Amino acid sequence: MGLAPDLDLVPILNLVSLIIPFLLLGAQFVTIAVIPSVLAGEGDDSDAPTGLGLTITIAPEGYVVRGDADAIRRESLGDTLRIPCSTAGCPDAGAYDTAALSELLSRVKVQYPKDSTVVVVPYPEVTFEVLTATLDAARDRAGDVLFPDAVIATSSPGDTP
Amino acid sequence: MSRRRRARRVVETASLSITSMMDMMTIILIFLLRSFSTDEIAITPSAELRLPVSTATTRPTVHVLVAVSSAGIAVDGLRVADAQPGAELGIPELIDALKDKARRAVPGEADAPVEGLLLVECDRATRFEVLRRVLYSAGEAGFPRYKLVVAHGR
Repeated sequence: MGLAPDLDLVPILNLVSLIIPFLLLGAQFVTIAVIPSVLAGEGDDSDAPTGLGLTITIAPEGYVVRGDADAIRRESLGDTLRIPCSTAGCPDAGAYDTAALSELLSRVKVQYPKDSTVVVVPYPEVTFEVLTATLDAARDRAGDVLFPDAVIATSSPGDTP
Repeated sequence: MSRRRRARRVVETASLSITSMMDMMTIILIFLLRSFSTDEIAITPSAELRLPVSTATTRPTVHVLVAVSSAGIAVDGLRVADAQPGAELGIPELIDALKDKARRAVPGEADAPVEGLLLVECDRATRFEVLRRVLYSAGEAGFPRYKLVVAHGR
């Protein structure tokens, strides 16, 4: 009874050895995305200004949300609402209460469904990670689009109360 | 008698078992197929540039890339300036480098304003006072629009 011939794996190994370097050149181990910027005045559906004027100031002690919306006035009796960090001193990006910010913006969106622009004013010492987390919180919440068009102000918020 | 033994001696060749190597290659091949990217641009974060994680899903397209990290500010891989806060908003070296990029994009029209678009890649720990200078310099050089590069996740 003859023995079955051995399978010649050398050609397959040659092929795999050629494919692997090619795939290594095109491999991307970190999925990259981008957050586009918006110039002031772009993004809103309607041509007429709605009067919302939504502004989020990222301060060292938390968020300061400003805008002419019932959701803001109801909780602050004015047009300015502060959302402090969950940890005193806001030591890292996780201390900023992005969940509360996102929830507030979702209530503002109910009143202003056509508005999609928010002005973000970070303090100089705020890190890029905090800025990114804030933009994420303002963009959408649980699949609902909030304010995806973010205008990042480059002026100093030193005069902002 | 010894001559016949020498004549009958069979030269044996050792066979290499490549089954294990094939197993390894197959697993690596599947992993690399999974990671293969067909995007227009491939950005590889470096050890000194850790991107923040974001829920953004917009894919990057080909534009001038400005990378800001502790090592400095680089335009398309070429270091041009230090990444430090300063009294002035503009960074002259960065403005010059971006203006040069804009000129090359529009040959023959060196003085024409170019509404360009930048990709800004920034380390997660970079303070906004540094990023602000970069964005201001980009605006001065004719790049008022930009896209912030992040790592998709969360």
